[in-house]
Amino acid sequence: MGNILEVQGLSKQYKNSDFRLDDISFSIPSGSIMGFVGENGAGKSTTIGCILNTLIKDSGTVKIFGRDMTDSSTDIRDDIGVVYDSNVFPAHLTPTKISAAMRHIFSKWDNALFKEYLKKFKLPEKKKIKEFSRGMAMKLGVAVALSHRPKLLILDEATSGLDPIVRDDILDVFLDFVQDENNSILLSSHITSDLEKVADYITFIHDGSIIFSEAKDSLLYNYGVMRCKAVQFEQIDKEDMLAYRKYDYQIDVLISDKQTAAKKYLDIVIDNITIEEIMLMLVKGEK
Amino acid sequence: MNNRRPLLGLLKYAFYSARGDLAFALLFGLAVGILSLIADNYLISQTLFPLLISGGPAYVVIMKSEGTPLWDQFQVAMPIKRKEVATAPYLGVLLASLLGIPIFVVISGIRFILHEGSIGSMLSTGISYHATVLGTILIMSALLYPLAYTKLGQRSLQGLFVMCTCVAAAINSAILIGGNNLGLPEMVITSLNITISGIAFFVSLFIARQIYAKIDF
Repeated sequence: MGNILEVQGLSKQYKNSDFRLDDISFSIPSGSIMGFVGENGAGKSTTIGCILNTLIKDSGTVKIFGRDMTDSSTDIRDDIGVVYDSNVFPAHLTPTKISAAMRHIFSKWDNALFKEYLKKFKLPEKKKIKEFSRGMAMKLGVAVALSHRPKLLILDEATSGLDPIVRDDILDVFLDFVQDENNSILLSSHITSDLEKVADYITFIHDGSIIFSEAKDSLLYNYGVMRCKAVQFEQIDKEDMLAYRKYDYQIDVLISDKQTAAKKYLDIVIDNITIEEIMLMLVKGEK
Repeated sequence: MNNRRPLLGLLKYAFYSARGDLAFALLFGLAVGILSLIADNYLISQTLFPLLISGGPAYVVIMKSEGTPLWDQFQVAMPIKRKEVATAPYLGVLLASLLGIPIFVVISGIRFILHEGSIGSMLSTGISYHATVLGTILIMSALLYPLAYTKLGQRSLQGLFVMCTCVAAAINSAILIGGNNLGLPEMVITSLNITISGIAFFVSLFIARQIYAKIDF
């Protein structure tokens, strides 16, 4: 199984800003969904901007379908569907007019498929976008992104701010999309429950750097949280701890190998952990 | 890949977005043209009518092209080269400013039929003024778009549009007045005006394409 997207050593520094995207590397295998998670301002959108070439990267390489992504790589972008976190289309357009323009932009634009998605999402063909709710506008974005039969979907917080019903509808469409093993999705989100539902891999970015990029199942199987008292906390080797958080009567310790830890620290309770807890421990915990 | 014509797609977006207002601008220009025929008013037919019939549609397309905050970013994320994205608004405003020409020609023709005796010089003045309006639009676009692509523009065209239109009108008036003071024939002044404006337009387009190739969205 080859990689549909490979990011290697990607760096980007904005002028007049302290934020820096630092040496980002990860890859997405074909037929999988990569959850790209991190707090607001962690660098998710900057990474996606550099992947799509909407931002000019300082260094590093982005390979999509095995080829370098540049401004002139229009044939690569012809196979990419992009959905942003809010409506991108001019408010006076209708879905019908969007389709009429898109057929000149994408070589594989399929108007019949677009109409199918409109029907599936219960979107009116001739209503202006300014009359759409946020959920409708986001569904339209997904319909547009899928109607030119892309191989890679890149979604930048596309499900944020949507109610659970709409999110569920959209996530189901994404799961259908990756049934074709030639397709992949990069799904940036801070709604970790969505990622737990659909993602095969999780890449966690914090303060412009990648903290980990692993298979979700392995992450949830291996990572754990030790619930300790102060005395027990003192007994834990520092190299076993990824991060810890102190509460009034308990200290939670994030570990990356709960099977080994369970054998090593017999008197400490070790719980399974969610992606949200991992994220919180790594961002807000001490090291 | 061969059936892709991204510039046409972007122009469709611009014109579909502006469609209702564009129709209104053209109909309003036509109404003023008809009014000028009925009232037989020199001022309306030679100044206001050409201004509205060319300037109105151009104004509508520029203002409606602001789109959404993410539209610029989305265009570059699609299979469109940055230079094509930079070219689309120039082509849009040029096409919009030419949309009214058939109406101008028809109204001027009717005027010729109705007032054959004096129409020769009036028509010449009308064409000259129309060319000045077109020149102003070209120079306005030449000033506007490179600024709009920089931080100065902040992706908002409203303020820049007023500023650039005033500067462009001043430049075109200067060409007109300067040509008259030099005693140049009207046809020469008109040609000079369009040539200078056209050069400014294409130089600006070149600069905008260079800027667009290097900026972050």
